[in-house]
Amino acid sequence: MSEHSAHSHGTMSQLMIGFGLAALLSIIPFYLVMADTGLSSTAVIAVIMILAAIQIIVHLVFFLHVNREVEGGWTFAATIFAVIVLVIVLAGSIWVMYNMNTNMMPMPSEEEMLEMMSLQNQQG
Amino acid sequence: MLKHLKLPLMLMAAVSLAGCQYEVLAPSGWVAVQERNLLIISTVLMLLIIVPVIFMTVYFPWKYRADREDTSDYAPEWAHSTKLELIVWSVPVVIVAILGVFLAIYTYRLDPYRPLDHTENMGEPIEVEAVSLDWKWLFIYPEEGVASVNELYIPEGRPVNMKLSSSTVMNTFWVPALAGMVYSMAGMETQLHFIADEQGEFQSRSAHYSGPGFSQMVFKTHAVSDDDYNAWIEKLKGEGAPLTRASYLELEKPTIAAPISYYSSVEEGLFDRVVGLCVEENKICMGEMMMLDMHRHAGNLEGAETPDAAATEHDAEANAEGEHSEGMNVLPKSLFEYDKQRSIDGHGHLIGAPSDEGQDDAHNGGMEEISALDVRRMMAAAALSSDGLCLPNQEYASNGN
Amino acid sequence: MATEVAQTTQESISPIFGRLSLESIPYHEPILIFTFLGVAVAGLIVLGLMTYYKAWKPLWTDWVTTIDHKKIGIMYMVLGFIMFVRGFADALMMRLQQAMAAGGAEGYLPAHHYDQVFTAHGVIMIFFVAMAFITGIMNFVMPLQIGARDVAFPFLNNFSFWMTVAGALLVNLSLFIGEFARVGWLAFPPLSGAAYSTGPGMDYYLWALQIAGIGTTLSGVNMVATIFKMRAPGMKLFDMPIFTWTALCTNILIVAAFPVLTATLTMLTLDRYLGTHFFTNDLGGNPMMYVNLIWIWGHPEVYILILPLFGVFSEIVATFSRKPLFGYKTMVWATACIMVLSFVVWLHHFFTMGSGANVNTFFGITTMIIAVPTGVKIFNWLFTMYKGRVHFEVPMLWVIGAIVTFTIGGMTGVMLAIPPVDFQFHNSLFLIAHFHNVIIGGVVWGVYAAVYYWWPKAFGFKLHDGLGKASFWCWFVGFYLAFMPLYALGLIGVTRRINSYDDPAWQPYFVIAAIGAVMILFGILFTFANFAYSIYKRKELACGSDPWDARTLDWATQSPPAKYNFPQDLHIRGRDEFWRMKQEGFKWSKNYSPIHMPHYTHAGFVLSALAMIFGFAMIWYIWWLAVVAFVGVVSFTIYHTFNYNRDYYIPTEEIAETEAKGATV
Repeated sequence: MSEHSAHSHGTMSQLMIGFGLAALLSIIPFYLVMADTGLSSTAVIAVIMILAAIQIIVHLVFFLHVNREVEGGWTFAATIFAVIVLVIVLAGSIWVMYNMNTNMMPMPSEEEMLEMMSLQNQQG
Repeated sequence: MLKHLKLPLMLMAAVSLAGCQYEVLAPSGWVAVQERNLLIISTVLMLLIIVPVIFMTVYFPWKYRADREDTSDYAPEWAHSTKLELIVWSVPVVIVAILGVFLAIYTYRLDPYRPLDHTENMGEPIEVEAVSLDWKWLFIYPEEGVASVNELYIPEGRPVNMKLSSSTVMNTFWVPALAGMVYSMAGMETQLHFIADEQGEFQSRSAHYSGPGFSQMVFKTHAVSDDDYNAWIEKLKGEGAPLTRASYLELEKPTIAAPISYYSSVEEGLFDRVVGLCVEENKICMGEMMMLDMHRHAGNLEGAETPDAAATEHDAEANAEGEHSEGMNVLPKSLFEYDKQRSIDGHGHLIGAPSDEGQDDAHNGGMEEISALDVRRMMAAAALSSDGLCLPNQEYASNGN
Repeated sequence: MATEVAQTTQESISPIFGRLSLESIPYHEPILIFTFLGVAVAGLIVLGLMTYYKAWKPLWTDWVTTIDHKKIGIMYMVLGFIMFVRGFADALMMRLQQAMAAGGAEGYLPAHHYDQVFTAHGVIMIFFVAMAFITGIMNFVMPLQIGARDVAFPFLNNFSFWMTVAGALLVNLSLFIGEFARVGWLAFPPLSGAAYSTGPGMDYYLWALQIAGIGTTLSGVNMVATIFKMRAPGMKLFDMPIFTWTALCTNILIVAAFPVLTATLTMLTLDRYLGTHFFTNDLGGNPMMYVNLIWIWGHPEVYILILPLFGVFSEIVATFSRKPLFGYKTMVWATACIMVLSFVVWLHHFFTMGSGANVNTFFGITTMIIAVPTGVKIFNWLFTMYKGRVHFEVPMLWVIGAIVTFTIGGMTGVMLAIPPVDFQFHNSLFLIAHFHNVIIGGVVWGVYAAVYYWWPKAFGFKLHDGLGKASFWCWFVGFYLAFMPLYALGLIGVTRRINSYDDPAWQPYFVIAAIGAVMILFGILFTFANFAYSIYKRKELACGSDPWDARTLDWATQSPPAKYNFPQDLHIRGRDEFWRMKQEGFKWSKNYSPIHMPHYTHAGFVLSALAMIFGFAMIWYIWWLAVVAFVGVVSFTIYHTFNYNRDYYIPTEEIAETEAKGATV
């Protein structure tokens, strides 16, 4: 069928590179979580998220062979669309939830916290 | 289509006969007045487009009906006109832009978190703390040290700075005559600032479905003179019972159509405890838990510096092993205890609490069957090897639950 | 007077039956007993008739196992109309209760039941009526319009349909076994979490929607692939009929938005089943995140519902004005704008949650911006009618009524888009009136217009005119009677989801609304009567392949179309190809070649039945059955992949015979 040539077929080396990258990008987060690296949890989460985003790109490029030529450029366009939607959802949610949490959940300051804890110590 | 016209007239007749108060259109407080004005501005601007559109929607098909006598104006190839397109895109854009400016101005002006400052002639603000429970409202007056259930008195002409929270599920606080609404959510504190410009009795309620007692979750807001307000406060100081953590926990039990009741004194810091979900004994407050989390994960350096935090951690680990310690308990006895104490079935009855009164804790005396929550607990214990506080594995002993 | 189910405060879980017990059957509730009897009697009659007319075998071979997009489309419509009866019954119950329960009266419906009714009403109407209808219309019409023989993945199409049915069946089962959720149609935690929604109701909700959601997502993938890959040779994107464009944008929205619903419901399911803390009050959970995520899905969802109907309006207005659609390219760009913008407006559903003026202003302005392309579309329909020759056939009546009504609803929508105004109107009856205004005016009447328009194509005979007009006018008057009072009540300060109220002054409004609902009931009944009567009189009402003198390729087929749709490959030269073909006196040549078609299959039905059993087992904690059903689904899928006998060729003799016969009624 003529449709067949529309798909990109990668080479063996592409698959191997992709596999290696995917493995590396998975091992690093597991190591960070399982070992006692002394990083703050925020830093660990940030690293995991970034590596996950990179791994998505690795999968798209090396396993799904998304490039600008396939399907007359439509596969790439569809990928960009998906990325845009993701960015809107993620950025929008983070922005909205940050604003909500700031308004809703006042974090106690150091003195307030110590005061709260001493209060609890008294009242048990 | 003529029937379409009869309707508004019929309705107006019904309305005038019924003598209803269109409180959103004829409000009694500055915030609601601003919101009403904005409503009218936006309606008028929208009508500029809507009226011609509806007219054309009815007029065009009739005017160009197939069986009209003179069809010489039939233009079967006419399907494009740049000029018309420009008008059709730009006029709505202009109207939307104008509306957008109003929107921005009014949204900032009427942000519920923003204290009122629209005039110099306002009196001293009063502070009210509102808690939505199942299915009633508790209003704490922290400055006066009293509280009431299902009755809100405010002095006319003085701004009300309200802080809201919930003991269970989401609700909204709504007095349509005075202001718009804001959500009240457990573990969180929202704010609303409003003022009553005239005296009166205003219908008020929760406007977010919260369970079987939702329809009865109504109360009245009374805007009265300063003297009457002070008299009411005095009445509460004389009449009510004390609102302590224990009596709050009693109040928390689900009731539908609760009668008005008063509290003559309020335990200090009760509202903060409500927001922090730590009214019960031996329960860590949410703010503290977050602080501990942050300190603990900062490589134990900061955590080790504050002796209290270190002691807390030690207690927590000791508690995890099932021992009791002298210091405070940071963890609940089991992860689901908080939720389980608030499980409510469809009839407003507390699941897990005995139906007869008199017991404060939520243990079900000696029921042998495995509960759904126990199953979940066991599954959770199997599935998760560490809880959200990153502490070692706990035993979920079912102590007679 | 509450006669609720005796609720066990501690659920006992047996190893065999999970938490299912005889107590789960609501034999204390007279309304449900009555409903069950009615359903049982009607069901027995249907089963009896089917046995008498020996319809079981044709049902299986021609309908259950079909992969033909036309038949699947018709089945979606049948599902939609059946669920519409239940959803509307819920509406009548609510109207009746609210008309009665004034000034301290309790009405006839206790809170426990009423709360299920309004939840079920929303869930059914959105997921199993509106979604089913638009999927059905797109399924039937779109491949015909692009000159294709079927969709890209015919088996997947069948599977999607049966998964939707499985979800619908679960919701209907909740009537008679257990109960349904009591949380509103979007099920916000913490009310929908494990602590506050004990009992099976919320679990029915979750599994029904997850199963149906799989069907819808796959349907979206299917149709996007079809539109991009299977257009007739020569049809460029800007030659496609406008309905196909709206179908494309709708399905892109489905593909982009439904995974958010799946993920969010999965997190809520994890909270309920495994004790995670995504959305609990305490221990790190944040219920606001659920509200945020569910509306990230929810707003595109309502555009998913309306965009196909915008396409329907475009087609019908163009056909019945005897003019090409005005501003085709602008319509396409407006649809694409709406599609993209629908992703950046979601917060307007929870302005009152307190996210601050920055966030509220941003989302308020984007919401108003999205009104602009919508308005452009309305203007273009008006300009299509301008200087045309307008025929007032029944589909056109529905469309004109829809444009008027949708416009009013759109106006109130822009009013609600302004945060301070929304602070007063959020969750009030004003809001209810607004979204029913746009959904009934836009979606429901658009569906009726589509049904009246494409029925002759699907079945070979028209629907009766007089009954159609009666249905329209009952719906039109009934809608305004039912919902204009709700706008008034919103201005008075009445909120939604209440089952009783103190102020007797509100009662006249509710009574008028109830009268309106009864008028709508007549509108619905008139259309059902129309179906029955027209089928009975189908010989007199028979029509040819092009009864409306239309412009698009779907009318180039027989009525009903042959299973292969078009006997030959088409070559498209531009927009409105069929209109051009008619001007040139086109005739199909008699040079046929064998046509490649897929086999019918039972796999979709079997998999969906297993999925439904899995859902039921998970709801009732019958773990062994859940495992068995899950293993069944996986094994049957693997087994199905080894079925290589998927296709066949229609021989030329059969094609010649079908073409010679034309269509028979």
